[in-house]
Amino acid sequence: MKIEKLVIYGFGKHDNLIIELDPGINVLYGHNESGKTTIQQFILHVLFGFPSRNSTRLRYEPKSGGRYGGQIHLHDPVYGKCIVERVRGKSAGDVKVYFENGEVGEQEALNKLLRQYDRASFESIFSFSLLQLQGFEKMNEQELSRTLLASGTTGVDHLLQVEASMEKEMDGLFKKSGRNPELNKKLTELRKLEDALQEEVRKSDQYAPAVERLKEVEGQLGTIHLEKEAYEKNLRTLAIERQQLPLQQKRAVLQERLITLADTHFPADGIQRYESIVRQLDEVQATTVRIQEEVKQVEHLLDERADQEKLLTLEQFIERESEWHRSLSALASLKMDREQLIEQENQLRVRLGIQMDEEGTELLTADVSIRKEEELYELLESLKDFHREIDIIERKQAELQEEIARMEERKQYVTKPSEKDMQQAEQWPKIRQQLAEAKAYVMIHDQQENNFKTILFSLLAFMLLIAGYGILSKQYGILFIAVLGAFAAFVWSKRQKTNEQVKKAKQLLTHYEGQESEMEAVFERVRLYDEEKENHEERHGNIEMDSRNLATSAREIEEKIHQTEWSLQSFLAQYGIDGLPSATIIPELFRMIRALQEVMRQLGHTEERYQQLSIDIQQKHEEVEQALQQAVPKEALYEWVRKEYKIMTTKARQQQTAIEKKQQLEKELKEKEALTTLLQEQIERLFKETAVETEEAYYHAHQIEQEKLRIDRQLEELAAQLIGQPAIDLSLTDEQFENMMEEIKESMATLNQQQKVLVEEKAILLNQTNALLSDEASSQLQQQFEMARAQFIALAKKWAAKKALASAIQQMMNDLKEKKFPAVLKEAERLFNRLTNGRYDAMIMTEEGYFEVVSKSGMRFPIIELSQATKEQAYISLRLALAASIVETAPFPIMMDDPFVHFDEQRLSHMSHIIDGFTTHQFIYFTCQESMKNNWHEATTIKVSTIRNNQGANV
Amino acid sequence: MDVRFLHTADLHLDTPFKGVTHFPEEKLAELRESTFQAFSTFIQYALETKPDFIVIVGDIYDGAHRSLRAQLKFQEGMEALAEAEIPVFLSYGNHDHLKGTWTRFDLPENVTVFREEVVRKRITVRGETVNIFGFSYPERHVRESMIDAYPVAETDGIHIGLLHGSVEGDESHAVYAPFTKEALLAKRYHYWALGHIHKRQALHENPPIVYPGNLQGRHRNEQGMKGFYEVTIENGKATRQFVPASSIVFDTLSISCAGVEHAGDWLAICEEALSHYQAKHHVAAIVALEMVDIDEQAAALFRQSNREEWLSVLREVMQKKSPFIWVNELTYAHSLKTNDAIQSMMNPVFDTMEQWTTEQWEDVLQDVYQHTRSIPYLERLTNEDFEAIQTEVKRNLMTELIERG
Repeated sequence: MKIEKLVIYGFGKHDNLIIELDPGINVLYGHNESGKTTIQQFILHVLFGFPSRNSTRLRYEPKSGGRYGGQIHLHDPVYGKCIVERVRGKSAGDVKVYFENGEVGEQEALNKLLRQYDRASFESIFSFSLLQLQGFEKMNEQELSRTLLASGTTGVDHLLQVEASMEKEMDGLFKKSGRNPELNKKLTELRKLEDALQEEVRKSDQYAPAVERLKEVEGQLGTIHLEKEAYEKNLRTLAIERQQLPLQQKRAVLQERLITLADTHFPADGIQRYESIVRQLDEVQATTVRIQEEVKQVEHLLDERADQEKLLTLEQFIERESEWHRSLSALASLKMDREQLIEQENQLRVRLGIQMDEEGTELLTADVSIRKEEELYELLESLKDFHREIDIIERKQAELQEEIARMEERKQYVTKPSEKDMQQAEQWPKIRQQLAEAKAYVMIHDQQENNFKTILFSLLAFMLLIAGYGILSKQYGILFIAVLGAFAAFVWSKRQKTNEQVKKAKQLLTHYEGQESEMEAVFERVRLYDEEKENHEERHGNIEMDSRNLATSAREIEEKIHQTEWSLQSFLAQYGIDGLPSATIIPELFRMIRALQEVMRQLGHTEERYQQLSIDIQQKHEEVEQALQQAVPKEALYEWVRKEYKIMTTKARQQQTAIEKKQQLEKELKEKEALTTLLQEQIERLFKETAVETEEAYYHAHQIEQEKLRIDRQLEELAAQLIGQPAIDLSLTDEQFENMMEEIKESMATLNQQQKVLVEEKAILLNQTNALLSDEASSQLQQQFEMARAQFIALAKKWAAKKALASAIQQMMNDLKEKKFPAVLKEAERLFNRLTNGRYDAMIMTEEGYFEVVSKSGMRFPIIELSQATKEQAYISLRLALAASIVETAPFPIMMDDPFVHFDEQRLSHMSHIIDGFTTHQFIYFTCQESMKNNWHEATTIKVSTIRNNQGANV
Repeated sequence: MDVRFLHTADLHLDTPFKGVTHFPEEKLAELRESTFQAFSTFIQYALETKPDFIVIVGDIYDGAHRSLRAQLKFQEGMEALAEAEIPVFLSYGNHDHLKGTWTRFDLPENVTVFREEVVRKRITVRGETVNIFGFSYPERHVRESMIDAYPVAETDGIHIGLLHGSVEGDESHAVYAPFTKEALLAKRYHYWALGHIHKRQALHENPPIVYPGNLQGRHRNEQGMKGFYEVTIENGKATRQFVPASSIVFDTLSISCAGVEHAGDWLAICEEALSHYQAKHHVAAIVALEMVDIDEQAAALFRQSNREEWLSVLREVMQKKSPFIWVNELTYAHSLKTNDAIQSMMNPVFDTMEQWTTEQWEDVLQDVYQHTRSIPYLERLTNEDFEAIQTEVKRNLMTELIERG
C-alpha cells in the first residue's frame, strides 16, 4: 500500500494542504514546529480515527475551527486506488472510502483495507519515533513477541486476553492440588459421598448375619418357652396342694372346738331385741336428760324475774319523758335568755364606760331610788336657778354702770366751796362729832366700868376653883393653867382701863364750846354743797353699793353654784362617774345605770333558775343511770330508757312463756320416766330368759352362740372346698412346700433372665434389619452422589471448553513464534549485521526470553547493555525484518519520526542503503536535519515549511 | 382361548438418576422413589387387571447398588401378586446375575425363577398350556450367544421366550447374550420377551420380538414415557398394549427463539412451552430445553448472561408449576456466524483446534480427565464429546471476542 497524496482540509496548524508522496522513500524535512509530526499524526488519524476527546492523544482540531480532517489517496495491491476521507462527525470522525470502481465504503471497508489492523498494532510495527524505539528495551520476549507477532494476526491482544481470561476461569474451576476451585470442591464432595455410600453398603452387609442370628434367637426363645411352661405347671400343682394343707388342718381344729362349746340357750334374735330395747331406753333417757336440761334452762330464765321494780321505774321514767324534754328546752331557753342579758349588760357597760370588776360592785349597789332621782333633779334645778340668777345680776350690773355714767355727767355742773370752808366744814362735823362723842363717851364710860368689874371677878373665882381642883387632885398641869388663866384675866382687865381717852374727850368739849353757830353756818354752806355733793356721791355710792351688792350676790350665787356642782359631783361619784358631765346627759346616765342594775338583777335571776334546772336535769339523769345501771349520754337518755324498757318487757313476756313451757316439760318428764321403767322390765325379762344377770354375760352368751354358728359355716365351706381333692400327706409342712416351690421359681427366674436377654437381642436385631430394609438414606445418598457426579461432569466439560480454547490460543501463538519468529529474527540479524558493519553477527533469544546480540568475537550482550544507537539499530532491524515478513498481509508504509539521530555517518549510510533496498514498502521519514535528505539517493524530499509556497492548496 | 400376560424388564429398582444437576433438595425424594413408584404402578395394574401371569426379563436391580429396600419392595410386590394368585416368571440379567454375593430375599411360591440353564416352565391357562423358556445370568457377563439353548417350539401350546440380551452387532449397548432376529424367529415362538435394552422397541412384529424398555427413565438418554406391555395371545397371534408407568419423564423440548428480543419474551416462550408440555402429559418431567432459531437479537440477549443464570431464572419461573417440571439443561443451537473482524481473529484458533487428534485432545484435557482422583467419576471422552467441546469453545471464544470487540 502506498500513499500517493495527502489532502489536508484542516488539521492542526495545516489547512488546505496537499502533499504528494512518492511510492518509494519520502523525506519530510522541516525545522522544529514546522508541522512534521502533525503530518504523521494526520495519516494515523485519518486511517484509524480521530482520538476521542478525553483521550490523551491530541485531536489536532484546527484552532480556527474550520474544516477538520482530510483525504489520503493511496494505492493498494489488492484494492487498487482508494481515497480514505475522514471529516468531522462522530467522535472518531466520519470516514468514507472511495474505491477505484466507484464503490464507496465506510468503516467496514476501511477495516478491510487496513487488514483489520488497529492503530496500536499499526504503530507497533509501521510507525515509530525515537521514543517508541527506546521503549523496546524494557520488553521481554513474550511482550516483544506479542508486539512483533501482532502483525501476523490482528487482534492477537484480544486473543491473548481471552486466553488469560480462560486461564483465570480455569483456575476457578480446577487446580491440580487445589481445594477451593469448583471441580476440586466437587471432587471432595464426591469422595465424601462415596465414603458415605461405602458405609451404607457396609451397613447393609450386616443384614444377612443379622437375619441369621435372628433365627437362632427365635429358636432359643422357643425352647425357653417350653421349659417355662413345664415349670409353671409343676408350680401350680404344688401351689394347690399347699393351699389345701391349711384347710384340712383347719377343719380338724374347728371340729374340736365345736365340741368344747357348751350347749347354751340364747333367745332368738336376742341381741337385736335387747339392743332395740337398750336403744329405746337410751333414747328415752336421752330425751329425759334433754327435758331436764330444758327445765333447767327455763328455770334459769325464771330466775331472772326480780326486775319488776326496775320495769316500774322505767315505766315511770317513760311517763315523765315529756317533762324531761320540757326541762331540756327550758334549760335551752334560759341559756339563751342569759346570753341575751349578758349581751345587754355588756352593751350598757360599754356605754357607761365602766369595767366589770372595779366599778361594777359600786355601781350595782348604788342607790337609784326615785328619791335619789328626786335629789338629783333638785340639785340640777337649783343649779339651773343659780345660773338664771347670775344672769339677772349681770344684767343689773350693766344697768348700774349706765347709771354711773349718767351721774358723772351731771356732777360737772355743781360749784365747789372754798378750801377753808371746806376744811372747816370738813373738820366741823368731826369736831362736833368728837364733841358729841366725847359727851357720849364720858357718859358711857361710867356704865362700862361696872360691867367689867363683875366679869373679872367671876373669871378669877373660876380660876381659883380650877386651881383648887388641881391642887386637890395633885394635877399640877391644871393648876398651872388656872394660874395662867388668872394672870391673863388680870392683865386683860388692866388694859380696859382707858382713863386718858376720857380726859381727852373732856378737853375737847371745852375747846369747842361757843364756836358752834358760826361754824354751823359755814358748815351749812359747805354742808349744802356737800349735801349736793354728798347727795351726788351718795347716789353714786348707792349705785356703787348696789353694784358691790350685786357683785357680792353674784359671788354668793357662784359660791352656791360651786357648792351645788360639788354636791352634784359627789352625787355622781356615788355612781362611779368621775367629773361632771353635761347636765343634759346626767339623767340619761342615771337611767342607764338603773337599767344596768335591772339587767344585772335579771341576769342573777336567770342564772339562778338555770342552775336549778340544770341540777334538776342532772338529778333526773343520774336517777335514770342508776336505774339503768350504766352510763348513758344525756342526749340519748330516753332512747336508752325505751330500749331497756323494751328489753325488759320482752324478757317479761319470755318469762311468761317459760313458765308455761316448764309445766309442759314436767308433764313430759313424767311420761318418759314411766316408759323407762317399762323398758327396764323388758330387759329383765330377756336376762331371765338367757339365765344371766348382767349385760356382759348376756353378750358373752351371744358370742358363744355366734361362734358355734360360724364354726358350722366354716366347716360347711371347708367341706365344699375339699370336695374332690385328693387327700394329701398332712405330714408335709408348709415350709417344705415353700422350699419346693422356691426351687422351681429360681429355675424359672434363670430362664426369664435368658429370655429377657434374648428378647432384647431380638428386638435390636429386628430393629436393625427393619432399619436396613426401610433405609432410604442409602438411596438418597446414591442420588446425591449421582447428582454431584453429574455436576462434576458438567463442570469438567465447562473446564474442558476453556482449557481447549486456551490451549488452542497458546498453540497458535507458539506456532507463530516457532515458525515466524525465527525467520524474522534471521532477517533482523542480517540487517543488524549490515547496520553494524559486521560488528555483531547474531541476534538470539535467551532462555529467559530476552534478546541478546552476539558480537563478531562471540561475546553475548543483552540489548540493555548496548550503546544507545546500537540498541536502536537492533530494534529497527527487528521492525524492518518484521515488516518485511508480513508484507503480504500488511503492505503498509513505514513512517519514521527521526529515529536515526543517534547514528553515526557510517551507520546512517548503512541504514539508508538498507532502506533504499527496501522497495516493498513505502517510507515516510520525518526529520529536522536537512542533511538527512542527502543520505538517500532516490528519496523525494519535501520541505514541510515550504509546502504551501511550492505547491499551494487546491482541493 | 386367549392368554394375557404382562411383560416388563429392566426395573433397575432404587437406582439413582444420572446427569441431573442442581435438582432441588426437596424434590430429590420424589426422584429417588420414582423407580419404586413405577414398579408400584406396574404391580397395581397387575392386581387390577389380573393377568394370567407376568414375565420379568432381568435387571430387576442395579447390581452394583442393590439396596435391601429395593429387594424388600420387590418382595412385597411379589407377595401382593401371590396373594392375587398371579404367577410370575422371572429371569435375572447382567445386573442381578446369580453369582452376586448379595443377600437374597425369599420370593413367594408364585414366582418361578429361571436358573442359569435355559429351561422350560409350564403353566396351564384355562386349559391352554403355556411354555415359557428362559435363563438367568450366572454371572455379570454373558458374552456368548445363548440362543442355541432355546428349543424350537413344539406344535402344541403357546411358547414364550424370555431373553435378556442384545442384538448381535449393536454396539450402542454393552453386548450381552447376543442374538439375531432370524435366530429368534427360527424358534417359532409366539412371543419373544426381551430385556436389557432400555428403549422400548419391537425388533419384529408377528411374532413380536419386543423390548418393553424400562419402567422409569433414569437419565436424559432415557427419554419419554416408559412402561410395560400387556400382551394377549389369541389363536396363536400375539397383540400388545403399552401401559405407561413412569412417575417422572425425561424429555427434550426445542424452543424457537425467532424474534425474541427481551428476557421477558424468552421467559414467556419457555414458560408457555413447558406449561403446554405439562398440560399435555400430566406427569412430572425433567426436560432439556434446546434453543433453536437464534437470530442476532436472541444471540445478543443470551450473551447478556451465562447459561447457568438463564437456567436459574427459568427454574425459578417454573418452580411453582404442577406437575413438577424441572429444566435440567439449556442448550443453544447457535449459528456461529459473526463479523469479519471477529471471524478473522477466530479462524486461526479454530484451524489449530480442528487439527487436533484424539491424543492431542486427551493431552489438552488431561489435567482433569486424567487426574487420578477424577477418573472414577468421569467417562472417557469420545469424539462426539470433543466435537461438543469444540462447539462450546467456539461459542465461548465468540462471546469473549464480541465482548471485547
